[in-house]
Amino acid sequence: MSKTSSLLTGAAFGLTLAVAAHAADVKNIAIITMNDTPQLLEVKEGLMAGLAAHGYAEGKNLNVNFKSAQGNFGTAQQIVRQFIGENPDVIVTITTPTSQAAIAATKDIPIIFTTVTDPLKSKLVTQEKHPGGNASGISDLVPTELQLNIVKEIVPNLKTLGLVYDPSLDNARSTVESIKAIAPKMGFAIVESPAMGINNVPSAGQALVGKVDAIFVPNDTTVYGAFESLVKVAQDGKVPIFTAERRSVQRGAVATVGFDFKDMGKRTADMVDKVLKGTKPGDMDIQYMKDLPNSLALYINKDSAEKMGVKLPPDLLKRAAQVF
Amino acid sequence: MSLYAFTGAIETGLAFALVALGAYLTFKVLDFPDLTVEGSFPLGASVAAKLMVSGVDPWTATLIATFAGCLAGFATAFLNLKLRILHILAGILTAIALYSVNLRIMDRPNIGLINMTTVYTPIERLGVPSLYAPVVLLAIIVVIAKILIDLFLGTGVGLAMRAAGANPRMAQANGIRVGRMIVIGLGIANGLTAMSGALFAQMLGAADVSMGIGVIVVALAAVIGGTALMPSRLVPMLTLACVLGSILYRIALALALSTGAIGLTASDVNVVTAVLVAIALWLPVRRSAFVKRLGR
Repeated sequence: MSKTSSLLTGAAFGLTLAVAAHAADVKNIAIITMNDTPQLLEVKEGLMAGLAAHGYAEGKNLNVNFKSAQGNFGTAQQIVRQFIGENPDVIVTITTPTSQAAIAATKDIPIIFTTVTDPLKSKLVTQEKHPGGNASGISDLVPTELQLNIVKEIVPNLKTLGLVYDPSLDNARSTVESIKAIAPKMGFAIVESPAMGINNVPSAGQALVGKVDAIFVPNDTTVYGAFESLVKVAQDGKVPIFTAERRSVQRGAVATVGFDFKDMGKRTADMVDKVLKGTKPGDMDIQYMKDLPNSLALYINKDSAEKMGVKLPPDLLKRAAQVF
Repeated sequence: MSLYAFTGAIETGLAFALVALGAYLTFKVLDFPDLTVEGSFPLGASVAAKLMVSGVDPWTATLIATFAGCLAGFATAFLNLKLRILHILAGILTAIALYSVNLRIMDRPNIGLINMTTVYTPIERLGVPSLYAPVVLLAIIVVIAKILIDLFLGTGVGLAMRAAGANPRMAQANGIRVGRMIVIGLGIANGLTAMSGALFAQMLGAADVSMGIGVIVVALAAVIGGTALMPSRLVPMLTLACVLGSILYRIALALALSTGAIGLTASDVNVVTAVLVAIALWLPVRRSAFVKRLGR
């Protein structure tokens, strides 16, 4: 072997070592979402902000591969396979179907799921405490009873509550089921108005005008996608609308006790950080967003209340974390 | 593209190849653009998933799902033949009705199938790694389905179906009952589609009511793209072209998903799909123009 070539080999070896050492400091995370709805993108935004707060800077010590299946299940399946091939340090799955696809496809790569309502029923995990396996995450189950209490506080003579939701969404459906279960106890009847697809949201709202004292919308990406149209219907018909998260109140709902989706993304980042530091997802309990400290707050939209013809009790306004 | 991404493309392509074979029967042979598949695909998934969580073994569940798909095809044929509703509209009507039907069947929008015994489990028990098991089984099923369709189109009924699609008036004049051919064709096509849905759900780990979104585009992309790349007059070559078209479509999508390469981002996937289909549609036009120029 000539001197130059051995020198070159040595240099190449040194370079490889340097690259390897560098690569060890860089974490790779892969994120998949089923859809690009504003709510889900807020979760992703919060996740990125949370990771930054934990000291991960994208492009420096963090590589992020973010993909949306754009509603297509075949694409979701392929994205998951692609992620597995890239062998990232952790896969973050936003929504129930993408979480199912990832968990069905790999038993090795750590998975943190988020924006899933019922991790047990969706078969993501078999138990909440120490789920075992390679997956854990955060549920967006809403504090339904607290939210309905606010509705009753603002509409004291509530006899009939209308529900606008997309029955094809697992998350929305389970909220509706839990409302149905507690409605008799709280003393009001339920009228369901399904909105299959974003174009049917306004007509689903119109169908309730005159029949109900208030409308409640669960965490439903379809309805939130066309939320302004529902607000307009409610203003015209003088029916107050209540929702399950912060931003929809900013967009025109009267009030909610709920959490912020960006905040949920940040809490997801906390779990991701633990995994990146070596904790196994199987040792991390499933978290419920509504039970986490400081996750819930009261949000009120004064202007909307006026337009929808309801009076806000003064002490309620005092308790609010934010009045739009 | 990694090996995993590549096998992922192959297995998804194989699963959807059954839909493509069905679309070949309706779209190419019968000249009947059938949109029922957007409903019969999730129907197959829903029926199989519901039966599986109720304790039925996965093979029986998949078979019953396939028959449910045939019924969906019959429904579209009924709307078209008896109620005289335009073929495209008849398919759309069945598909949107099936959306509600699927919600009823599952009683919720999503049934998880993770860690359940599926049709792929026996293959895994043979020692095939779980990531490759679907490819092996799907390849066998697709080859069998392809050969059966080839044989079927050579039988008396099959030839009658081809005649009914090529020239309905002439076929009718020769004593072929065109309506019956449409019923049979739609039944087989949607049975294959539902089987595909059932097999895909078991691979994905869930059946979901929204699974049908985009199925028709994928099926047509496979049929049109495949037959454009491999033009032929022979049925066995054309069905092979549909299967390969389905796989090639997925490989192209996998390439599109490998972002960074040509500045594509996550949100560009659908436009890539549309461009691929448009190119496939344009290829035959260009080829015939080229041939014409040579002839001059």
